[in-house]
Amino acid sequence: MKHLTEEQLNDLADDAIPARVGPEHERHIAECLTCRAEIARIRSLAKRIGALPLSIQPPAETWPMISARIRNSAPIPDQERSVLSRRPPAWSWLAAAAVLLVVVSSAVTTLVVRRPDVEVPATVASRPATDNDRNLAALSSREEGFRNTADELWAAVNARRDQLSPETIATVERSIKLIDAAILEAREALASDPNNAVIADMLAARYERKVDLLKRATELLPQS
Amino acid sequence: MFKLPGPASRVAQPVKSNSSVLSASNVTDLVSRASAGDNAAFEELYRQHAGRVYALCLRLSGDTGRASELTQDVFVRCWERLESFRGESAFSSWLHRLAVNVALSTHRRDSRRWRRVQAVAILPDAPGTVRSDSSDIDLEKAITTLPTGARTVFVLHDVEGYKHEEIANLMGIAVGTSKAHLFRARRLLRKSLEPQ
Ligand SMILES: [Zn+2]
Repeated sequence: MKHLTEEQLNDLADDAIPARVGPEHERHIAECLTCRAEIARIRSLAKRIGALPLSIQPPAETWPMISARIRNSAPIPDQERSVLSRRPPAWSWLAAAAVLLVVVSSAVTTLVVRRPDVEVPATVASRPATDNDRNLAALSSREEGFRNTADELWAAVNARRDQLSPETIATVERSIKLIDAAILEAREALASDPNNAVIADMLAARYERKVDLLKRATELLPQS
Repeated sequence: MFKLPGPASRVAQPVKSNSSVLSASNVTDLVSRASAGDNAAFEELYRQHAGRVYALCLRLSGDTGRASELTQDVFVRCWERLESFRGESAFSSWLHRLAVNVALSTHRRDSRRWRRVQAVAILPDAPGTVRSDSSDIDLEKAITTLPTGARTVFVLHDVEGYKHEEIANLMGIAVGTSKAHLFRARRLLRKSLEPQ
C-alpha cells in the first residue's frame, strides 16, 4: 500500500486529532519502516524547536528609541495627520530617525569640526517649501539637489568609514534606512496626490533630514 | 509522544528576563500606572517583556535591525493602547497578540513597498543578543532562510504554539494553506539540518 501523505505524517508526529488516519493506515505504519522513520524525524526536529529560547534580549538602543517616541507621542500637526491618516504612521519612522540624529549629534559635541572639503550647498539645507515652489517641477529640481548632496556626503563618509566607530556607522546606516523609507513613503503619497502642498513639504523636510544626518556624520570624521 | 504546548501555556508565560517571578499583581500595578502616563512603570513593563517580543520579531523578520524596529513599534502601539487593556487575559498574552499583529501587518506593508534584505545567518553575531546555552544556532540560521510564508507559519505554530485556525485568521489565509506552509517549512529545515 501507499506511504502516508505528508499531512498524515505531520499530524501523527504532532499527535493532532484529525489525522485522517484509518485502520488501514495504522496497519501500514506498523509495517513500514520508512513512514515510522519519517515520523521520528519530524518529532526530532520538534524537540529541537521546543528547546529554542523564547526570550532574546533586544539591542540596548531599543528602549531609548521607544522612550523618545512615546514622549513625543503627538509630533505631527493636525493638518499633516489628516493627510496621512489613511496611511501607515510614517511619522513613527521620522521620530525614530530623529532619535538617531540626536544620538549622532550628541557625539558631535565632542568633536565639532566642520570638514572644509565637504561643502554643503547653502540652497540645500535651507527651509521648507514656500508657496512659490510648491509644485512638482520645482520640487523635482530641489529633489535632485538634495539627492546629489546626499550622494556626495555619503561618498565622503563611506570612503573613510573605517575611521568611524562601528556603532556610529551602524547608527548612520540605520538612520538613512529609516529616512529613505520615510522619503519613499512621502513620494508615494505625493504620486497619488501630486498637488498636495503638505506632502510636498514633508518630502522636502525628509530630504533635509537626510542631508543633515550625513553632514553630522562627516563632522564626526577625524580631520585629516 | 511529545506535543508542542499551545499558546495558553507557551505564549502566556512571563518572560524570564530576570530571576524574579513576575507576580500578576505586580504586572497589573505596572499596567495601571503606565496607562496613567507613568513612563517608569512602562519602562519596567518593557524590561519584563521585551525579550519575548524581540525574539518573536527577530524570528518573524529574520533581521536584527528590523526586529529592533518592530519591537519599538510594538511597544509604542502598546503604550497607545494600554487603556484598552482590560485585564481579561494576561498582559503577556495581550502584548504577544499585539506583537504578532504589528509584525504581520508591517510585513505585509513592507513586502509591497520594497524588497526586504534577507539577512541570512545574521543571528549568531547580533550585538546585544543574549542566548541561552541551549540555543540552537544552526536551527536559528535555517529558520531565517525559510521563505516568508513558511517561516511566518512555522514561527507562529512550532515556536510560539499557535493553532492553524488562529494563524489562518491572523494571516488571512486558509487553514489548509497554513498547514501546507508548515509542512514545507519543516521539510526545508530538515533538509538543511539533517546530514545528507
Ligand atoms: Zn510507508
